[in-house]
Amino acid sequence: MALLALVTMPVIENWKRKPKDSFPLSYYPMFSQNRDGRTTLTYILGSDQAGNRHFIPYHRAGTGGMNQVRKIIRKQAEYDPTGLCQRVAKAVSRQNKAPDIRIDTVRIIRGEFILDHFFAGNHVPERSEEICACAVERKSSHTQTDRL
Amino acid sequence: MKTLSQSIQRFWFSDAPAERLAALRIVVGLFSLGYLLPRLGMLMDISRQGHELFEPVGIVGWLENPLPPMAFLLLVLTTLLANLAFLLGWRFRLSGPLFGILLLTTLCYRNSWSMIFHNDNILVLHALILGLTPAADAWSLDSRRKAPGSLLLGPADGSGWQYGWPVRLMGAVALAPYLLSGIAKLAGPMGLAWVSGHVMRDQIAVDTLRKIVLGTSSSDAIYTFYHQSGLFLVLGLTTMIVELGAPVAFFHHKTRWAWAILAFLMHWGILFMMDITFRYQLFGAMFACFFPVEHPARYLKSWLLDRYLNRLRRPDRPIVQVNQVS
Repeated sequence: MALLALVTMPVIENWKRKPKDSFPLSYYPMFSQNRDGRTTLTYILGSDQAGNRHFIPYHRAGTGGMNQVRKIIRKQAEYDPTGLCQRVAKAVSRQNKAPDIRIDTVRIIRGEFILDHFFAGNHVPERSEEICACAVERKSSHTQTDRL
Repeated sequence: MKTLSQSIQRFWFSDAPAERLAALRIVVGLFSLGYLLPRLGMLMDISRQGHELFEPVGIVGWLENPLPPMAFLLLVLTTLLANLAFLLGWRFRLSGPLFGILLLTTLCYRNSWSMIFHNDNILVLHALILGLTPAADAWSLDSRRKAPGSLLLGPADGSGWQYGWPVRLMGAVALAPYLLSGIAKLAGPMGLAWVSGHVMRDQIAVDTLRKIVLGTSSSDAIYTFYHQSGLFLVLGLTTMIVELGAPVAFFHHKTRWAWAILAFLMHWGILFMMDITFRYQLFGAMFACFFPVEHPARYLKSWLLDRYLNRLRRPDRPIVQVNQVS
């Protein structure tokens, strides 16, 4: 009975001004939020010389699952955007496959997407703010050969 | 009043065979071992992250700084050893509670890096319940020690209320998060209008959008169903029935089974629509406590014995009688 009371106790968080989630006792707030047809996301965008945009995979920015790294990107974009940008640019520079090999600039973007537009095929955010940008520096093939 | 109290007592403390609790111990032990082992590398990578990402939760909430990665590695390895002892039912009076506490600590620490994974909650609570109850009175190394010469999966004829109430508690603890999720939706900004389905549609769409923009695999189902408002109305209603109906379904075995099947299908639906894997639910491990799980376990046991052990006992070569030579 005590365990059951403990497990159901977090329900009071629903009516708190600043609810706090925990583990393993949670009030399970996911799916209750009203998105109102739009969402804001901090993400990493790469661009090549031809001006093509490429979404950079989350795992270039951190360790863990997608949702965990998404929160890490959002946090780091607030307190150390340059560090995040440079780390991702370095990770991209180590790749030798397309599209990473073509990317020459990495940008940290906070963008607001309209769901109707996005799922109609328009992947460009309605509003966006560039937080940081940095160049992808690659070692020349000559240098790599020298090392070998 | 007396009748109500007797009914509650009959419900909570009804008899169950020792094998049921043992089968649940094996299910939970196998699942957690299969869950932790492949994630060893990922857990280590997470523990090496910067302290600025550390937001301790649960029983590690008192930590001001992350543990040294080596200390966390030691914790995970100890948890794995305790997991093995729990699974085999070895020195269970010690290994049972120890595994429950270690799994809780490991997963609290794993969830302390900016993101709480709610799919681990019920697994931890089930491990704690099993660890603190006589879940190794059958099908364990402990029970084999008490009856020398018997097999690890040998017969156990014990039954009683001490094996019944932990199973009930596991069921209640499994249902509670669904009820809490339902209440959170009603208490949220949309209230009862949540069942209309468009909030759910938007949630699924946002999840897919994040996966596309952050470059990971996603379900394409939302592209097909985005404009099917009728479908989302049905899904919204079904979700609410599963979540708010959970405590009502709990009190009769047939409704419990129906609820478990519906909730199991709901998780497969979530996987199809959102590519989200609630592994403990998808494998059916969470729902095992709603069924007489000892029956399939007995069947599996006799099949295994038949196939392997009895074959070992059977001589491969025909016995040739040798006449005594005087």
